[in-house]
Amino acid sequence: MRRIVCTVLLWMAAGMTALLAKGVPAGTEISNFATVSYQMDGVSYSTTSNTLSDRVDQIIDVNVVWNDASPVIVANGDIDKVLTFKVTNTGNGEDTFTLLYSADAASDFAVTDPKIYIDTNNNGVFDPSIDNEAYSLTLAAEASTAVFLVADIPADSYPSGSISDNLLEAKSTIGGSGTPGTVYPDAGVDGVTAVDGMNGGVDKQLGTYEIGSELGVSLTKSATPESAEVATGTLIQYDIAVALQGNGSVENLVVTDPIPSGTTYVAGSLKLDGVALTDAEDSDEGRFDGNAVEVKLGTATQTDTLPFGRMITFEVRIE
Amino acid sequence: MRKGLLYLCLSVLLTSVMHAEISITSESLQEKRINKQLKWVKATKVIPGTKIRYLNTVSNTGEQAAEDLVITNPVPKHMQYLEGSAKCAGACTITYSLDGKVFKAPDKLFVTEMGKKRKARASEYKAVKWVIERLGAKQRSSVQFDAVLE
Repeated sequence: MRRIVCTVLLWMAAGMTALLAKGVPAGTEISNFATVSYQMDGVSYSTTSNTLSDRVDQIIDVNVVWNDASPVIVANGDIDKVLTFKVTNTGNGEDTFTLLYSADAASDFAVTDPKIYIDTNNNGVFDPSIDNEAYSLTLAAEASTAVFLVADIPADSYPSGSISDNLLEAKSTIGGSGTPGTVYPDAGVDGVTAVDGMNGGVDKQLGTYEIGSELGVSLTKSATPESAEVATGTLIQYDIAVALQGNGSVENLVVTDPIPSGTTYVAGSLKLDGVALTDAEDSDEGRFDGNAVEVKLGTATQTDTLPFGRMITFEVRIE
Repeated sequence: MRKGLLYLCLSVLLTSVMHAEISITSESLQEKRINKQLKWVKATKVIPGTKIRYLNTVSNTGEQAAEDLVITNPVPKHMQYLEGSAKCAGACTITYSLDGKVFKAPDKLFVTEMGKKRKARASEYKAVKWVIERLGAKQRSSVQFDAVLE
């Protein structure tokens, strides 16, 4: 009877530590024991083994993701532009991570005055008056927090599409060697052994700023039938006026227009600024691919004194 | 609290040992690569995903043979039993339990999930039982199983 009581209590002791959904927390005790019952001279006996207790060691790991869906659009001279990252403690024990910024050499331009802020109020959005500037972050096992990189864009004249790649690194202060499997005796929570996990206890991710286009491209399309009464066989001329709004340059400007259903493109009718273009894909700007007309305008530039404007025309016949 | 418990268990253990000459010792082992070979060594680095081998050695130090030895080992909390890993040194019958009380062969263990009955998964076993017919005087034998830390 006494043995049974003992067994039950041991089970309870083993069950006291909270179980997490993923990965048993570092420091948890894993207990094991076995019992044997047997017969000797027709008498039943029973005995219990020693109780093993293995403590769960700490896996150290961290994951950094860049949370903006696409490059953050900025303008030359902007200040306090924000890149949003998420740092997750993917280990099984509490850890403090050092946060480090570095510029990626492959960038078109470098930001100035980069600062790192932690999402103090945990709302996922940068709040300048609430969130704290910090370069270390303590996270419980499986916990994550948004981290913001806040930087200024140089007051220069980088063309639209120029990018600036910026790295945010989070590195464990318990481990963080970068080599999975590196062991740190007694360094984990409650003095357990700590081991660098899959990422080696350190991770970094790129976030991107992109100089936005200050230009708008506008297309104005009009249709002119050859006669007031539109019927089968009627010829319609389409005009597409291409213009820019704002000053600057747009690269690789291509205008594509599918032929309306119920009409047939009139072979050889495509023109740019009144100059005929062949339907084939060749050295001139235009072509008809069987479904749509396409005109490649290349780089389009507009200044106050040199406005940009092109006119594309083509004809279709009603079926 | 836990220390008191330990003393209680120790005293119980000692009482049992005095009664008869059979003892059982439990060890936890893990695989370690030594000179390019995987060897089972005492478990010291246990992290989620680690495979642990629980090895129970039964010794008969007496002058008489013991019969109908039934060894039970609850699968430790936070550990998942690995299918087919339960073994014994000689001949034995191995059964498993989903509740720690009723033991059956794997093909007779079922779980009801959302109203449907299905075969229990090895990871759902809560305890393992080995039955050994006889352990002679001055003999020892062992049983084992492997489990993975969640």
